[in-house]
Amino acid sequence: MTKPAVCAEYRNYIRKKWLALLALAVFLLVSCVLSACAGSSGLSPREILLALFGLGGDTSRTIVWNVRIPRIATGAAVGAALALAGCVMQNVLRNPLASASTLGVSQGASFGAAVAIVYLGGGVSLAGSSAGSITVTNPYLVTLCAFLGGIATTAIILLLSRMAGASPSTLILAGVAISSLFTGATTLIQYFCDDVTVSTIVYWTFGSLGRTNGREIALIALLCAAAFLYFFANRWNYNALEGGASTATSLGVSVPVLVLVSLSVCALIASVSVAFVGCINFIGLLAPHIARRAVGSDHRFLLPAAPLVGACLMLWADMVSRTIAAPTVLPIGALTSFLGAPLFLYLIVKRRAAP
Amino acid sequence: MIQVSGLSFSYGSRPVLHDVSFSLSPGQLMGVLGNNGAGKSTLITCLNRIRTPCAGSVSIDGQNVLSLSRLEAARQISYVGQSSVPSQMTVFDCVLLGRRPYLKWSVTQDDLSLCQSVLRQTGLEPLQLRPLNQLSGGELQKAMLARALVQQPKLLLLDEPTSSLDPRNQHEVMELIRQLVSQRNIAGLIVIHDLNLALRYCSHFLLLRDGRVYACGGPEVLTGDAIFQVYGIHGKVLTVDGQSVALFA
Repeated sequence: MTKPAVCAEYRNYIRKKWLALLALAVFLLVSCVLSACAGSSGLSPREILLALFGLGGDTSRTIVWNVRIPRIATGAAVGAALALAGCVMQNVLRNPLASASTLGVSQGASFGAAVAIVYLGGGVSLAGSSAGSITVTNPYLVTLCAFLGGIATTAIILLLSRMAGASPSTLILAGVAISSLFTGATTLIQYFCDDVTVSTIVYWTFGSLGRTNGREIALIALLCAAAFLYFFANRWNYNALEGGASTATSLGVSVPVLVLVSLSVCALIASVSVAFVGCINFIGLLAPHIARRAVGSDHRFLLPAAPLVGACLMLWADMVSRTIAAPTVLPIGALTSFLGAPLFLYLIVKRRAAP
Repeated sequence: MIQVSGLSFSYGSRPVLHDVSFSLSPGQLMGVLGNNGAGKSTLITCLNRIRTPCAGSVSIDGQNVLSLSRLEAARQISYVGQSSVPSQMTVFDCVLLGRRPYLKWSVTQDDLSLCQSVLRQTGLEPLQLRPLNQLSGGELQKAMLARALVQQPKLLLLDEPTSSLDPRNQHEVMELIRQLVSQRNIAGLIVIHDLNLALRYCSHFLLLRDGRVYACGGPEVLTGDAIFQVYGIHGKVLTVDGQSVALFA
């Protein structure tokens, strides 16, 4: 059989996808720079640039390297992790409304982390410090408990998705119920705590990018990178799942294993993010949809695009939260909810309108 | 040569297939006929391991498919389901997905060339960058067929591929299936409800009744009595202008 040359049209199409990815990466870089410049300290872009290279005054170097860079790194890593988890959840559950926050995984992880912080000695509240901040003294314990909370939720979702007739709407409603359950449980924990601990838990659940240290950022980033490698190695399997479970099986995909492992990895990265920065809603839902607009639904491109979009969204949400009412820093969790809730409603209406 | 021997399957305690045996040679297109609930689709999904049979064997050129890994089985058998899920994926990417059982880390030039060749053969080349959700029903089924072909299977399984198509597209898709099975010398097994389409395009027939093989063979097995036994209605097969047609009372 003679092999025809693959047409230039398809090659151009693929080239455009790569260009879109490159554009997203450049946009993320620009977002990082702008985020480094944004804040209430009044540092000029020149001072920021000098500080980045270890030059300039002590104050600017301290602000850039001790405050802004860790904040940017946390935002980018958490945004990427939540977007990655949302992207894969939407694929394996075949549900465009799936994400760690809409399915209750974040709330489950949040409950697990709260238990670790309050009862298992995973965190210490610093009474008297600004806004009643909390320091996670044992990140591994908090991460483990958050993961257990997240994975318990995932197990329930998985069981429901296996049940005959469990529609996408059923899963989301189950997510609402699970979120309510864990929110109630977290409230009960707060009820039996002293005032300082209650205020620290409440502050913690608002979501903040400003309380992580280098070790925690490295943990989130490493887990996110490992998860990305696993997901990317399965990119063809996720594409096969787009055609349904039977099609994927006939293409050699072991669907139950793929779904189980993928959801567990999603629970892990979402839970770790929640453990260190609190509940950040809707990034995991929004980012994959925006990425799909940019590169389509092919997971060869969607898997790298979704975390890039997620990181950008987090950085912009953080910039807005720091500048809109400066010097007060608004809780980023509330801001992402403002951003995501209208889109969530739009997706529900769109699904209803679809033939 | 495809050899199915003593295949049985149950949904829990409810048996669906009983001791199903038949054989099929390369280049033959076999129509699987029977009433709803006779076990036609279950048979197809047992052959490619979407479902695991309770007993029996499926061998292709002497190799037992049921003992192969999913990936190895996918290199031998491809499948086009009853309903295709149209996504935003382009036709080319959908067809390229058929190379999944062979892919290592990245797509090779050979994979791309094969896809291009099959797209040309199925007449989909002008639509290759169109998203699946913008295709007509006939075009979508052709894309699924093209994806199944780039798997380079020895056995092609089709589960009612024309059930949602208009008569013109039904004939186009069936003609394409017949040509591809013949030209590529692969065995085709197609679940089909329309007896006249089956008579026109299939060379062999497998008649299932209550999960058992009622008859298997060439067009001669499709008699009025067989139609009554399998479907429970009176009918007969006539030859009109050299073409067999089924008429029902």
